[in-house]
Amino acid sequence: MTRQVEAHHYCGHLNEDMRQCLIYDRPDADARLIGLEYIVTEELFLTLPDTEKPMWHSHEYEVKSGVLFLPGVPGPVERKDLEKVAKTYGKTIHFWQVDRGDELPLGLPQVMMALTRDGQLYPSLAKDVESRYSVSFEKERANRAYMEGPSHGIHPKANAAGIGLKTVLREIECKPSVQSESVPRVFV
Amino acid sequence: MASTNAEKKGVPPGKPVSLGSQMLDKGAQMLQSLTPIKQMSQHACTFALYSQDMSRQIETHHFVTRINQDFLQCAVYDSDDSSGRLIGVEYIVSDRIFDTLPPDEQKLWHSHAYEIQSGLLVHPRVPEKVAMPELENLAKSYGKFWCTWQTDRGDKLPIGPPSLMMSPQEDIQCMVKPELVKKRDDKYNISTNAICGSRTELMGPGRLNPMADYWREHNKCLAVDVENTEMKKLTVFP
Repeated sequence: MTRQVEAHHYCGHLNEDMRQCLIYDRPDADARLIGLEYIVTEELFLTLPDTEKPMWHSHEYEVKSGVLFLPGVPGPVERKDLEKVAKTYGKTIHFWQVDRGDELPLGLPQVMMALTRDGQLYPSLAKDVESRYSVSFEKERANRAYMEGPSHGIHPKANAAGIGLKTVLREIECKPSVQSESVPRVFV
Repeated sequence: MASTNAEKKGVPPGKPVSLGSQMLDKGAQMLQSLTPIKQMSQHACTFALYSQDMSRQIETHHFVTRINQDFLQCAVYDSDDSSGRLIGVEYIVSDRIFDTLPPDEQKLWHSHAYEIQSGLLVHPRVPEKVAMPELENLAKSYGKFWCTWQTDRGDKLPIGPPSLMMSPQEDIQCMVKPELVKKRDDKYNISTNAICGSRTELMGPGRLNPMADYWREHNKCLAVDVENTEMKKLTVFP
């Protein structure tokens, strides 16, 4: 949680229940593609196997606190979309750890978590975004107080079930595309 | 909105995009600059193999942004139509940059020379002569490709840890299945074999780095798992 990143999502609908997003480190022409996110409704989230759910995070806090916003889109229009997003779950993978100064996308993919309550986000990161985009998270929080999260409440297995997740690399025996000539084959 | 192939196959499951959502999207498109995604300048169609199982091979559609002479970043989809699922991200670096990476990093990358010389990688609807300068660059490059949605095994949603992907090579163990190539060729009305014939002059890197395509020299493949770990917290989570 001590490593936090500002992320710019460019999302499209696959259908009403699912979106897929490309994530960049800034909204500029030379922005680095640092990851991707899939966003699903609660209904789809509940169909995921229990072993999968921890890799997904809830969006209720991000939306209701105001920190997630659509730059340039007027509040009333933005809120029409965000009231749906507040009920969704996301799976975010980052491939490029720009926050630690990597000039290239090094290492393994990282399963990212989202903010889930007050006190997690570094105030300096928040202030920086607020001033660059002339937004006030506090003001938006008040405007979004009417919004609700998932109907069944935030699933206990979501958000890494409160435990951290890390990716590890393993060396395994290769499974070839075609059996090599030296391996005996059985003809049926 | 007319139903797409994805909706027909139920991947992902869900209702068609509502009128309300369509209007919101159109509105946002008009108001927002969407600059990073407008930098995509190429569409390449090629094939990749799962590092943990080379018998699983996929046709991929790379939407490529060139950041500078030595670096490209690609959003990878499983088809080139509007219902294409975002299945991963690939980064491409020049051989000059690749040679500066530490060996532990290099083993996650694959070479592109064979894939391009063999005609497996094409730029759909772009004449070979027009694509040639870029192909010359790409033939010398190395890629790092993470797949996050295994639609080829029928996953209706993106399940599991990210997979490391590998590029086709001339070894028989990673031969791309002819029926996959034929399906792609028929769709674009091309012949991979004929294209291969016209690319005989294309050169790979001066020296193919032995850490790339790790399995070839080391006879071991690479798999990624997700494990629990202790999260460093500033406060309660979640």
